[in-house]
Amino acid sequence: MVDIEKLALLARIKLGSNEKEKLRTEFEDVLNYISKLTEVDVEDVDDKEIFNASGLENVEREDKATNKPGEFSNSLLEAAPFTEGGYVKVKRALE
Amino acid sequence: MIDLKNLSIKKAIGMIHDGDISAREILLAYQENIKKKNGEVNAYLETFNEEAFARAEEIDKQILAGDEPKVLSGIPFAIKDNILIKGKTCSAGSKILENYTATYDASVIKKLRSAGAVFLGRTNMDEFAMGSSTETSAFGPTKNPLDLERVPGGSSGGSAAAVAMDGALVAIGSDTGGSIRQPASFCGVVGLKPTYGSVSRYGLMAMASSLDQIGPLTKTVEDAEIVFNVLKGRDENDSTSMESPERITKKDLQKPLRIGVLKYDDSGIDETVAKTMKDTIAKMDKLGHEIKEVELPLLKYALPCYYIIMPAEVSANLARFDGVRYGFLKQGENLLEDYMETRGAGFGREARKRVMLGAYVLSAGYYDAYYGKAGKVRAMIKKEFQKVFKDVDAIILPTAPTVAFKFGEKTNDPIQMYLSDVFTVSANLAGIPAISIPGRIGEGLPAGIQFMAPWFREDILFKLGKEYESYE
Repeated sequence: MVDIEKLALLARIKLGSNEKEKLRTEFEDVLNYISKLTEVDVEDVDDKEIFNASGLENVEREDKATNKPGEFSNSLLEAAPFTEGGYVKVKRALE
Repeated sequence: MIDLKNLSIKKAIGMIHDGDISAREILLAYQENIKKKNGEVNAYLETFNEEAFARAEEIDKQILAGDEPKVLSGIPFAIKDNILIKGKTCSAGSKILENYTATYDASVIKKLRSAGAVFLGRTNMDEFAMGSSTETSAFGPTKNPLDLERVPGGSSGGSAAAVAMDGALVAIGSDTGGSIRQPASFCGVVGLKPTYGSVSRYGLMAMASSLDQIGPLTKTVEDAEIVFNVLKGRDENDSTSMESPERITKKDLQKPLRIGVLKYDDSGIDETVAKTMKDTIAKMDKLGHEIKEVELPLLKYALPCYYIIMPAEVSANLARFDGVRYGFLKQGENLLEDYMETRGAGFGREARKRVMLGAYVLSAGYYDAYYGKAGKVRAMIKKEFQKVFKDVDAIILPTAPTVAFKFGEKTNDPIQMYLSDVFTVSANLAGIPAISIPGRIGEGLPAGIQFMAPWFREDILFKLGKEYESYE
């Protein structure tokens, strides 16, 4: 059985106590549905072929700033709930 | 009075050019319609009335001063609420971004702007583009203008409804598993999902980055082509974008084409959909194209494959919504609780479920069995398309298994809801272009017909689509 609470913690989502059961049922329906893939024999697929939907190659650019210092700082900081002295302010991560 | 029902981009531009009508008059006609219908339909979450008028006025002045109209001068556009317009709220249909203001223009917005487009407003959608009916929007569902008891499809349901109710001449949507084509089918409009990489996604809120594409919803195939030609091309800001390779776009399209009719399991297929398929095949045959049956045996695994890859990418992409830098914040005792409370209260049910599903398929011990396997199946599906496209130039298949369904009909059965995308997801998995065109059997609710073509061969879709539309 799927441990819904552990997954919710992994996903950083607080669940309401009355939605867990329904979510578990729906979750298991979906897992059951996607497990259909186990039927497919993928032996012949090379690892290098995975996830290359349209033959893309690496794109590189010079490691240089493309904007002036501070050009976007204000508009970005304005979107944050708490800021201080030009920084985004967050709660302590380590206790 | 302008005949909005039969207006097209070319007609509008022609009239503006000849001075028969002004950009303001066109805009006002659409705004009038929105005022009349949006209360009931809820296609738009917000309209940009004054800016749109100022913009139309500016265009009229340029034309009056003798400027030639640009390709989209004065054309009113509706924009899906997950595409950033600088200075405007962009919520992706989610409570977590209800008060978020975009800090820059998406690349498609920049391109449309410089081609002369006027933005009418932002359209409703399933939350973060996750859904097939707009019922997961935090701001109430959109109704299908053709039948108000039915869903418009999704996730670009607001965009499709805006065009269908003559509340915009063109709408822009995004398609991760069918989110442009399925609502186009339900609302009786044209919807194009371009080749992966052909249109920049810079400024589109990412849902599943290896699948997402931006495309137009229009009334005619020609309009879709005009808008696609404005949107396409390489963009510095999206490293997955590229120019359509020249070598293939020059191929002669005058000859009859080889059209593959997909063989599929017809259980659960509506009568209207089946009839539309039959009708299209007959017309394509009479137009002189060579019709043959094609099989894609792996197609039955496309949807399960999609429901591994998509949530995995969703869980990574939606990790950024943490209440720290922007968007909604609900505070708890410590940082972890801030995250949990913010995301618990900010995301709706479907978003929560998909993020958790993604966390599950990516977690240690399950990764190879789910995500790794899905990646390989995806590669096999792509190969299968490559093989089929050696024999045919395009594939015909339904867009969705049914016509527009009623509200609440599928909300309690997620698998039934997901099956709505069964014919569309394969194009996203393989990265190929696909278009949905309203069927022409002329009775009841419409069903779209879908054409798929090889990578970067949108030209084939436009050719066949126009022929089908104009078949007498």
